[in-house]
Amino acid sequence: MPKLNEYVCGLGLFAIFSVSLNTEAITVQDRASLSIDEMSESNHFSEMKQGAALRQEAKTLLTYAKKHLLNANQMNKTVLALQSLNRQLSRQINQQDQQTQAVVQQTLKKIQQQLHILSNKQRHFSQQGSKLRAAGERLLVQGRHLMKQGFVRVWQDRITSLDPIDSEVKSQLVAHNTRLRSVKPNMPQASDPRFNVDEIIPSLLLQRGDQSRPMFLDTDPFQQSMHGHFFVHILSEYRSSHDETALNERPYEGILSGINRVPINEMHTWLLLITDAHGQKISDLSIEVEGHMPGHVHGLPTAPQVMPAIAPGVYPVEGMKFQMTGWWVMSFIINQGNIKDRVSFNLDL
Amino acid sequence: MCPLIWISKRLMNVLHCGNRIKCGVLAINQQGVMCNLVFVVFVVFVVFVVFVVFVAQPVVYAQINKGAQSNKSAQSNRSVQVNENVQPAALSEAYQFTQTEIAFLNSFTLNALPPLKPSKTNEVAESSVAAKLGQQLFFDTQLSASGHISCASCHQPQRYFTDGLVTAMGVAEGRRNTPTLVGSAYSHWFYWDGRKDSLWSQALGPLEDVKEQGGSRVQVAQRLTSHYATTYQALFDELPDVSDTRRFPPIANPFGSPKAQQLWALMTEQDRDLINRVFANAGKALAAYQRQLRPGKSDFDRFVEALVQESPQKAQSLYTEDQVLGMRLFMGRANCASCHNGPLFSNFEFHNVGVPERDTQKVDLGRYAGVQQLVVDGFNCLSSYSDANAVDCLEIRYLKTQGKELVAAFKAPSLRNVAKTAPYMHAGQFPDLTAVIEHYNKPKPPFFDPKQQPNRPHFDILPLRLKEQQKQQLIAFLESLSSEIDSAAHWLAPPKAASSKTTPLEVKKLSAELDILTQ
Repeated sequence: MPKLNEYVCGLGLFAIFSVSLNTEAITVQDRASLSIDEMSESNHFSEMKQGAALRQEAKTLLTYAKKHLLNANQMNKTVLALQSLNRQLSRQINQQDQQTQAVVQQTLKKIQQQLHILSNKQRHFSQQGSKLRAAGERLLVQGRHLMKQGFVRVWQDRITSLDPIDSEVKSQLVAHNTRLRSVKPNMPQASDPRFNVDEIIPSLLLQRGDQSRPMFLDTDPFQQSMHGHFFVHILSEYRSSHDETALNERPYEGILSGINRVPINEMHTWLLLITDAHGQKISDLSIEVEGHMPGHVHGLPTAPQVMPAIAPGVYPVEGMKFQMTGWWVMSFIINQGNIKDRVSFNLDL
Repeated sequence: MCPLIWISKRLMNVLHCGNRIKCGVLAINQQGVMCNLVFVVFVVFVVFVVFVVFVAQPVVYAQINKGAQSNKSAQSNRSVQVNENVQPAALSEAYQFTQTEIAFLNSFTLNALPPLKPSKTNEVAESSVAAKLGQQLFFDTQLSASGHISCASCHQPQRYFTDGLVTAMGVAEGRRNTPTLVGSAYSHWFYWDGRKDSLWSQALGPLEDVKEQGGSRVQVAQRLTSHYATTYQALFDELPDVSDTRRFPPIANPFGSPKAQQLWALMTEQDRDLINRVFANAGKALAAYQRQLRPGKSDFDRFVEALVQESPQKAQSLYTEDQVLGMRLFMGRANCASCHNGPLFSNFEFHNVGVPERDTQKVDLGRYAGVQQLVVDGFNCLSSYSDANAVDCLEIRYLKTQGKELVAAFKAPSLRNVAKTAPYMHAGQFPDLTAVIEHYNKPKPPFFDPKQQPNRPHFDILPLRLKEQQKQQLIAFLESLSSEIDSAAHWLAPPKAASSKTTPLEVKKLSAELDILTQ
């Protein structure tokens, strides 16, 4: 029974591996929760640093989660193989002479025992894996929140809104119920549901067709780049006359809501505010722009260009234009020496 | 023999009941009762289906049609209704809009259309003198080679500045459909492929196009500085003398016949520049005139206005239910408003909607070719004949020159007065709105020939899968976008002849023509 021996041996290896994996994962989890506690007395730089660290750890957790889940998958395959072996042997048992029958019986018993153990382990691994994944994702969100918090403090004088970029048409619609909203800059909040335009605009009229955006779209104008090198905020320079008055009335140190909007069919300029993962403004980047509508097969109607930084970390993007409302994805490819990173933003115009 | 017996016997066989059955669907024994019950249920069902399909539905449809007709008659008598204010009927659900919806709809009305911005490339754009000169040029047939074609030959005021033809007919038949000029000053691209970036630069195209007016820039310059000399001088503070036909051969034209091109090339650079400048000024005057052509308020605008004024009863009297439902489709499920957006119902950008290729042997590359032409155009925003600073030429500075989506893409036209400007699409492929909607409902992918096109054209639309009734509603809505032209009447007719005096140049030309005729 060489096959059987292989399985048993494999099982032992799995058991050892799983123990080591578990302990590692748990320490990572502990470290992560520790760093959240520590952050209370931090300035914006360390906020961003900690956010970045959290993200790093979240990535580690997610890697472990992936390993666990792969293990579970592997075990599942083994279980299935054992089960089929079991079936095969049970079917053959009557054809054998008495002596062999006894041996086979014994083997069958062994297989069933192993099966039991293995399927328990498999359940454990998959549970552990999904737990780790949830924790990792939670950490990712926390990390990004922290980074955003620190980032907002770094750019207090520039940021005019924490809300997603909106189109001129849509923002006019809600203008009557979006007044100035004073938000403490160190307290970035998840978008207030009252300002969710899609809920305000009833589905009756704007019942969108097949080319619409997905239900849950992350339209946060603050994003970390794919490889974690940069943290970027997109800010539209476009101002209507209504916006200008609102900007002048800017109260306290509060941040305005809703003054981050783009016109449809009109050329305008964006600003990119960029820091590295530690909150340092960076000015020596060369950046390319890409934009497209996932629901359609076309890109931007213009070829916008990212200009050299006009102030530390501030890059104008000239020639921006959107010819259609709907779901847009704007990506910026950031080059700094040998580092090449990419950051993407969803827009729901 | 009862025909039911045959059917029921068959059925009984299927149900393994045996042959215990008689006419009248009454059973003899117990087993038969059970089977017959099944049979009775089956017969009742069949009768019901037959009734619904052949009797009930036509009756219901007839009633719906009746309702629609009475709605239509209500529409035609609406002024009477509004005045008399007879018994306000209960507000139908279709007419109920939230404040947000009304605000959204209002962004499509002329109230949301800002006044025209001054043109950066054209300093005389706002001048009424220029507009009047432009009007004269617009109706002047002497700018063409044959002396019979003016701008107004194709852009006929009484046809909402189109010609009603499949493709334009100037000196010869063109390959594209004549678009309307009303509201065109709001666009930032001109021609179906956007090969011009200003209204004045566009106006120069047809004057020299061999299939349109077939004239030449020298001819235009000579006519402008002789026949319209006073106005020209008043407007542009100069009156170059280009009357010498040896120095300035009237047919010299960089895009004309080989002879014309040769003559143009033989002129000195200064002379060419001189001609170009006068020619560009002709375009600027024509642009000033076209800026006067604005769309007027349509039923749609009045309907939304009534909604804004919170008088839903009035709104209901202005718009039929079909139109309202069509509007909801347009703004929502049919996705029309994603490109046909804003008060002029267009984003004036380029899309490929898979319109059938008119000539598969010589495909129209649309925007792909347009971009290439724009960049080398001698009268674009960056040219020395444009009044704009290069910094202000945003469209050409950030011009998209690459991209699969440029191939066979054409400009989305304004839908204001769409019902008056058939046939439709860039080469007049569809004779009426029904054909257009039918196309959007079941579009075919664009024609692709790898030998002629650099890549497979992108395709910007998905099948709408509208029902027959919904298509009608959509058309009813589109018809409600019709309006008069919101311009003083004197702009819409040929101007009174400014001077009937024949200039020496014309005498020369006439005698030359006579010579040719007599030979």
